Amino acid sequence: MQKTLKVKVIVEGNADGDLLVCRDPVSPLGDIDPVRGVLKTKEGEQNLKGKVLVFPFMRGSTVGSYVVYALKHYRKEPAAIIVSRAEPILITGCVLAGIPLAETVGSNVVEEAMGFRKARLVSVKKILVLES
Amino acid sequence: MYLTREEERMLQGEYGPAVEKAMRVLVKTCECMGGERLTRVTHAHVSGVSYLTIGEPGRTLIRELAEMGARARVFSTINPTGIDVEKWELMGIPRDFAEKQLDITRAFSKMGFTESMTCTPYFLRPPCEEESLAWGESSAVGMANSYYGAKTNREGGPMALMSAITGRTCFCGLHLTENRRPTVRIVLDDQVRARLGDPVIAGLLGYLVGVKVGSGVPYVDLGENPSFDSIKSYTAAAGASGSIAMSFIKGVTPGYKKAVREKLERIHVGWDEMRDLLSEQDYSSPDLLYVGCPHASLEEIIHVWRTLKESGEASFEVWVSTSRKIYSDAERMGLVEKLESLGALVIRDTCPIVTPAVRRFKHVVTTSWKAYFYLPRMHGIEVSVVENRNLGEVLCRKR
Repeated sequence: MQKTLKVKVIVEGNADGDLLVCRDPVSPLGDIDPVRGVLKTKEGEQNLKGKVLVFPFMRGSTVGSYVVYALKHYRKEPAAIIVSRAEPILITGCVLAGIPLAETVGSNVVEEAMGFRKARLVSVKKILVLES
Repeated sequence: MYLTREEERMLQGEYGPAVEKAMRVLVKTCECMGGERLTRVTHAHVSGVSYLTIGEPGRTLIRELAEMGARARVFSTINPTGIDVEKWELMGIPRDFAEKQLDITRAFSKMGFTESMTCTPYFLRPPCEEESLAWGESSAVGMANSYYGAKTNREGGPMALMSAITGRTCFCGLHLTENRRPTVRIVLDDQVRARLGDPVIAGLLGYLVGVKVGSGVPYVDLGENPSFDSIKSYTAAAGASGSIAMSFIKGVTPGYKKAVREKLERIHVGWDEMRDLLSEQDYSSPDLLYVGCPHASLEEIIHVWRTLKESGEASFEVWVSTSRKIYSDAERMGLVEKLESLGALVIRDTCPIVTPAVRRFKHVVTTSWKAYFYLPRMHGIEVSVVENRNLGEVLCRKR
């Protein structure tokens, strides 16, 4: 099965990788360990490296930008980040780290991505392709 | 989004890789927030400088920017760090922490930041009316907008850093005249008004306004000729318990007369709720008395000294935190020496909210509602607030 979502690309770049969907907003300071490259979720720790990371939005302290940047520094960054709503903390982190970032247009990316295993961000076409 | 030719060139990398990166961050963020253009700023103030709050991720990025050749394009200052550069050992801070902190501070200096290390940048350079700034640090933002009539949003630490490097910020929010209008009127009863002369009570009002209003621009009457310290205390607390970046203060904020005519939703703050909160404060057995959040003014330092002189040396630690600027004024007046001879420690470059040194204390008594909000959250310490008139009582009490 395959599904295509329209996205607004904020930080350009293409990505292809396994999907990692987090239902809850992510607060980097506390939820992300940049040294080990893991996201702490209710279901346990998930590796971020090379994944297409999906969550609703980022919240919490502005130190979050530094944490996103640190993922790149430790070479543990996800292939791309897709959110329902991008805000300054996340944008700052992604631009500095060069991690592709997109926001879905007219759809809830968390709901849409559920049940899919892989995702592909095509920056020039402004689409996210979900694959099972 | 509209960019000037110079801004375009910054974005194209003609000013080097650091400016290019910083410009990209600004443009992307501004586009997402619906800003149509950038605006020049004259002063950037960066929060998130303590190693305690930004850790390795922050240290890494700040160092790399400095190594990349980033420079502060406009007058730029930094918030308190995790240590007093000279007295960190006296404060009980581990060497490893101090070295990492100094590393961050050095990176800022290398980029041309003024070594302000204070949350009160307005003591160093008071902003002009209508001046555009990019300030982090909520308490300073509140003062810039509400007292000085300058224009700044509440910038996150990294965003203010990008503004320092480019000399620009997003033209949105409180930079736009149409957003600099009160959204709610705070109505006080007579008993509250009668007590607003004590900055601690003005701070308590700010704390409750922050809780009740959350975000917005309140119109508030702090009484006839409120003192600078009362305004500072009010804006700091409102920016901590709420995300209030600007208040219209009667008789103080430029343009308040025009603002007052608007019909506004009313929110009441009564003495009964203030009294309830005050009665919850237990200052019977502190192990630290702390004054200076935001960093103490000269008047606040004098008040501590006078009280301490009358009560005699305290049986627990007494800390006053301030900026280098005010510290040097106090030192010239002999105040630092006088306070230290009475057992108090006057620290600069840092404050208990962002230093690990405070973690050995169990119960802190303070005059700051901002500290009341943050100390339990940052360090899990019990905190009580004391009114200025009761400060002597706290100090006299021997364990």
